[in-house]
Amino acid sequence: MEIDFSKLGHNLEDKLTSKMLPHIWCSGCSLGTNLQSLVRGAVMTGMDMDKEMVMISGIGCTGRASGYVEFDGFHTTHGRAIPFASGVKTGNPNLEVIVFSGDGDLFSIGGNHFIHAARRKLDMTIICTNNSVYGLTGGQASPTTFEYSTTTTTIDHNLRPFNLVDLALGAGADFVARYTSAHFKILPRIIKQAIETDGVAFIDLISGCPAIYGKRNGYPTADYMVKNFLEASVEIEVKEDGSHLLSENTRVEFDRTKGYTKIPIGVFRRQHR
Amino acid sequence: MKKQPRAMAGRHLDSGNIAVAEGAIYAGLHGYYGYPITPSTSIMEHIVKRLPHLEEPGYFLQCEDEIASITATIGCSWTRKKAMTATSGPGFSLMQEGIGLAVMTETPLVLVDVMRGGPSTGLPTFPGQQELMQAHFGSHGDYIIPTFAPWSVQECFDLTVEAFNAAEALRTPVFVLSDQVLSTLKEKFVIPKEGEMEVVNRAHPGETITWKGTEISEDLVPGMNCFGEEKKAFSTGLSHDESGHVDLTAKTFERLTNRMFEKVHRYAHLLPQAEKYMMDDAEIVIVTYGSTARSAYEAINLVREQGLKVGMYRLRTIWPFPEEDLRKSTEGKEILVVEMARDQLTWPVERALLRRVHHIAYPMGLIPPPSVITKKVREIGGK
Ligand code: SF4
Repeated sequence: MEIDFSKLGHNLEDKLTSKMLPHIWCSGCSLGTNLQSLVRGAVMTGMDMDKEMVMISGIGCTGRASGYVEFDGFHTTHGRAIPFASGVKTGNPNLEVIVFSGDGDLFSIGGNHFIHAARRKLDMTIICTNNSVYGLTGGQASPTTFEYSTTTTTIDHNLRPFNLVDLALGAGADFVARYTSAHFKILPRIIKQAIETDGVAFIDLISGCPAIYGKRNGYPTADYMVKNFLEASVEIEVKEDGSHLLSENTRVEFDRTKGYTKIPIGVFRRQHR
Repeated sequence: MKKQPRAMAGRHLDSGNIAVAEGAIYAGLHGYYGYPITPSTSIMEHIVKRLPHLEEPGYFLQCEDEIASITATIGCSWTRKKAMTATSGPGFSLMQEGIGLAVMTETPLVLVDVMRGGPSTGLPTFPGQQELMQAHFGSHGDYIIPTFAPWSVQECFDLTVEAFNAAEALRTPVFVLSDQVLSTLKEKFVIPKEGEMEVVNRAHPGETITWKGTEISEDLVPGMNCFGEEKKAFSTGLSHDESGHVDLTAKTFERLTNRMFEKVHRYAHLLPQAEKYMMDDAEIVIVTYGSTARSAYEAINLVREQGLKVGMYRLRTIWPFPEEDLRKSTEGKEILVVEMARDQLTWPVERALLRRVHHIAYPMGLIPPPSVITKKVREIGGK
């Protein structure tokens, strides 16, 4: 299918690889908006995307994103976007490296790499499209799948999910934020801040997979999902005693019959030392 | 700290692992990524003393595991910098995933595998040659990776330089298979002055490079467009077209994989050739490689004194296997394969010669002593 971007009036046409369209993502998926937020954030930094930025992804629905943009990029093996990024950054420190991948890729098979990257503080931005499921392989439980939700591998019961914000704070990331894909207005600004952070910046980007996870777990359509994200999101209130950073206050809550019930959002940490 | 030169030109008395590290630095190493594992560790311990202190400093990163080491090596190479990792046995197993990615994305890099006894944790501090087949078939899918095997400390240096050159010229990962004996064995070796040995750098798109006086065809080895350069650089472990973009059609996949084989085979004559010792009048030929060849060399000198006509075909490039050269050089001769493995080197040898050969399998973590080889040779020679 030939798509003429100018007819669609897309103002990021020169940043996207039209050759790769149509993309593989389902309609209603968060990934389109997430990618757009990322590209807008990258544009806002004023850097030359083609010469100064490298976008690295792993495997999964999100993994394909690196092929869709006019950044230099690499689509690595499953879970290995972060070590690849470490090689790029140490090969040429002038490059801005952005890891854009999913929750299964970054926190299951790639979990070890994440904690070490956070500890090591090589300058990179890690954005996790966190939709709590392995979408590309058909809907298996991921490390952020919620308790009591249905996947093809957790018919009655799933174990506790990772709280990615808590994990990133604990591992020592320098910038930690969480928003949802519905926050596409503020996200480019947050992504810009993340890119400009000197050290490891992490964004837990709560996202929806309506086609596979949502239809089994309380958000069957994309518009329900977007409303659900906005209604469930609660901006964190920064407390002097730091109690807003306690795990119970950063945890995402979910009900398999109605979707998300609480999503603490905001920037949890800036430039930790 | 005082800046160090790249080429530590002159005579040295040191181990194979140090020679490997110096060879890499001589060849232009920028990024080293590794994880501690015996017997390869002293390579990275030497690199860390050298690489960050060069006039043009390189980067050393101790990774969280071997999977990260090989993947970071690939990442570094995509910034047009020379990169390497080194490991042993279990680490080589973990790296197989990344090796496939390096092949598929045609990434120049050097991986030094210092072999020890296996399977599993096996014999960490004893030698083995049981990773020969793994170097060929370890990762899934069809591929061929140039694999060199030194037998002396000098060759640990020389073949590491050659490995970088082959990697750059052919846009491929290259293996150096050393072993535990060479890793700690100290002997004299010489580092040439900067510029005395050829150092090859990969081609940019549209540029033609020469290696050992031979022009490398851009049709077989496309110039590499790296990160931060003019054009968009992209690649993927998925099947892809020349621009690096995903294309899962049979036609593209066939074209890609055929070319990846063809480029290694076409230039195989530029890879280190086998050393033939006392082969002219030999009736029995010992086919071997690595530190085992040192024992075979000694054995040959002993039995020659007793009038047995024995020679040695010492492999320096294992993969692609020099089938034709071995066949031609051993016509009508008895063959004895000696290896620190149960049954690995015999496979390519018998396949090349289309006949059964004599064999000393010595997989118990010891280098076969010359006496074991002389005994077998006498048996074969009827003396
Ligand atoms: S399977 Fe889910 S995550 Fe993957 S593209 Fe479809 S909606 Fe998006």
